[in-house]
Amino acid sequence: MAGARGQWNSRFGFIMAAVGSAVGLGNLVRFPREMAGQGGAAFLLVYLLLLLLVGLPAILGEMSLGKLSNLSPVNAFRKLAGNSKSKWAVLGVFGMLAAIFVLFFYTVIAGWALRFFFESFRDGWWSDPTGLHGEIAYGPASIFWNLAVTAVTVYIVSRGISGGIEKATVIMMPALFAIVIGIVIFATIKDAASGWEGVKAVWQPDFSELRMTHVAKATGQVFFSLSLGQGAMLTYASYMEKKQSVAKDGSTIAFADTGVALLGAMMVFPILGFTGLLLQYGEAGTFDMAFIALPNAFVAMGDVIGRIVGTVFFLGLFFAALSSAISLLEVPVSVMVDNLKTARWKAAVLVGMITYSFGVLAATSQTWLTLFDEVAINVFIVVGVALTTLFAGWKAPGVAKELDAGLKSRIGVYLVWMMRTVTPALILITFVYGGLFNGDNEFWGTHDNPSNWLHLVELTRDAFAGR
Amino acid sequence: MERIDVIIASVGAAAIVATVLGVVFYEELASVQDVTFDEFDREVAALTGEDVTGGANYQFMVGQNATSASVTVVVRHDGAAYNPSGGSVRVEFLGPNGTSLSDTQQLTCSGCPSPTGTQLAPLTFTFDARFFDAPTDTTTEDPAAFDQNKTWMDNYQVRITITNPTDTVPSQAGASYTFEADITVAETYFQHRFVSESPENI
Repeated sequence: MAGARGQWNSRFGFIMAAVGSAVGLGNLVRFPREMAGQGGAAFLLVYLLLLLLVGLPAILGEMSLGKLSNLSPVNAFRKLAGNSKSKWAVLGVFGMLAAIFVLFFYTVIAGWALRFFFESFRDGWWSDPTGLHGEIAYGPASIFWNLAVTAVTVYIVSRGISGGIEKATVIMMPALFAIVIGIVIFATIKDAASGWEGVKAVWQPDFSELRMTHVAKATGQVFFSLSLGQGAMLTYASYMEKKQSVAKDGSTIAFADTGVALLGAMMVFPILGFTGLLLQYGEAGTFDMAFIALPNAFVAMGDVIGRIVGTVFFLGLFFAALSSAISLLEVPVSVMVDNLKTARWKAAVLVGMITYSFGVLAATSQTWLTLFDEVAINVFIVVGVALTTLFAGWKAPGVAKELDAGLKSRIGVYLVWMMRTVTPALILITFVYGGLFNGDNEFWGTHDNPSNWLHLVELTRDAFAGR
Repeated sequence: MERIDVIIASVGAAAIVATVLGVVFYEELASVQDVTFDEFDREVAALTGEDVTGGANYQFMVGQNATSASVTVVVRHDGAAYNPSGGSVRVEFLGPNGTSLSDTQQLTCSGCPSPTGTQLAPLTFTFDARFFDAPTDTTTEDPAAFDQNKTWMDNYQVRITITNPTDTVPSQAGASYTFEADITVAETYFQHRFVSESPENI
């Protein structure tokens, strides 16, 4: 039964919502590209290792804070620090601001996916698979679709945890899984018939490709993929029932997220392989891959099959983006509801309008879109995740016991040890390294190949200069 | 009316203003995007040509954005003669208006083997012609209007001229020759690409 603050109706509903928060465009399109470009199965091994050392402790730490406190991010840190005026509350603010900054551009991207889904019925990307994205990505059309997605997100969040978020995600996530699995089966069979070129491109291990910069990228991929540092997992966990196990459910979420990423790898590159587009688009960026390379591949599949596969693909992409946007909006809404006792729908409308207004910048300028992402990552998320993990390991009471609840073995103490030492150390080392060194291990880098911090400086300058 | 309602109304007004400003000034806000040009290979559809006396002319049109063509001509020249002598196959690759795009290649056959028949080994000619350089990398603020495509409307030709050998010793049945040619054309073409940054946190 839902509590006064709201509660998930079922464990399944919570897991679907949390997996929806974690799974996004990155799982379906970015991860395959990273894996193919950075050593195939070798990169995957590094990724899985970092999932165990960084991702799992971090997500379990964040979820523990939510479940122990039963509160939204800012109040959760105050309560667990044992002091209503605790400075640790700033971590909650960090997470909320990260969620807001990401929302500025995330609904724009979700709008692209929705537009492409609708264009499936109008010959839009079919007649111009290479040019459509360039025409609609930035400008009045993008503003409109951003507004549409924001309105849908606000509506779902305003309906509450069980009546809105859970109801939406228990439909969207199984549909997404069915779509992805169906396309994977189809693409694998076709790629097998044409020599496994696509599968080889993404899986062939190449350990010589692995460098420190790739380890840094894999670390970043792990916690961006798990939606850490944005308060989403903490907020969702705060609505868990007492009898639910953080360790079991958190692990399920982390491995389901990785599973979808692997399915993405088995989908994208086999499709490029059997349609003969691997050479042309094998190194395309995330947006180009989703909105240019794959539409070209769908067209190459032929009239009937290509249209069907393309239509369901873009529907799945939209579900992946929308479920993530919902979790991001829920963070500031829950903070407002808990602190200001605002009606949920009013909080959702207010935050939605704020993020939409700033999203107009992201819908008209690639520079602003990228800037919002870089600020979220470099200013709020990475530092927030590291400090949240340290807080869960050193400060918050009862984390080990919470992690052991519902399990036969006692793993809490080991996980807490990771949160105190290895996990935040790895996060901070890779963050500082990526901030100072570019992909070729050059200090600070150049305009064409910058380090993360140089990139942030240049983006800020370009955004305010109108470039 | 609660204070939150006033705030919502104010933010709502700001959202409307943001929308109007975005729609009106989106071109000024647009980022400058880098545009690169990459080259790719493609095959041209099989050629058909017409036989003319002593050879054949094949015409084809290169596709949109083509930058170079690699033409391979394989000529099989069969005949029956007792003691053939001389004979040649000449292949030319010509651009529009008959301008030559490559050196003419000619192979001759003298003292062809076999008193009971003449069969030249298939002769292979290859021409590589580059007739357009891909545009240099540039920038644009309006991807929707960007167009540097190049369409070619002219015919290119592969002209084959055959000179049959003469039979220095008349055969019983008289000399006769046939030839056939296979021509494949591989093109390179350019395609533009907007260099777009993708957020990491998606």
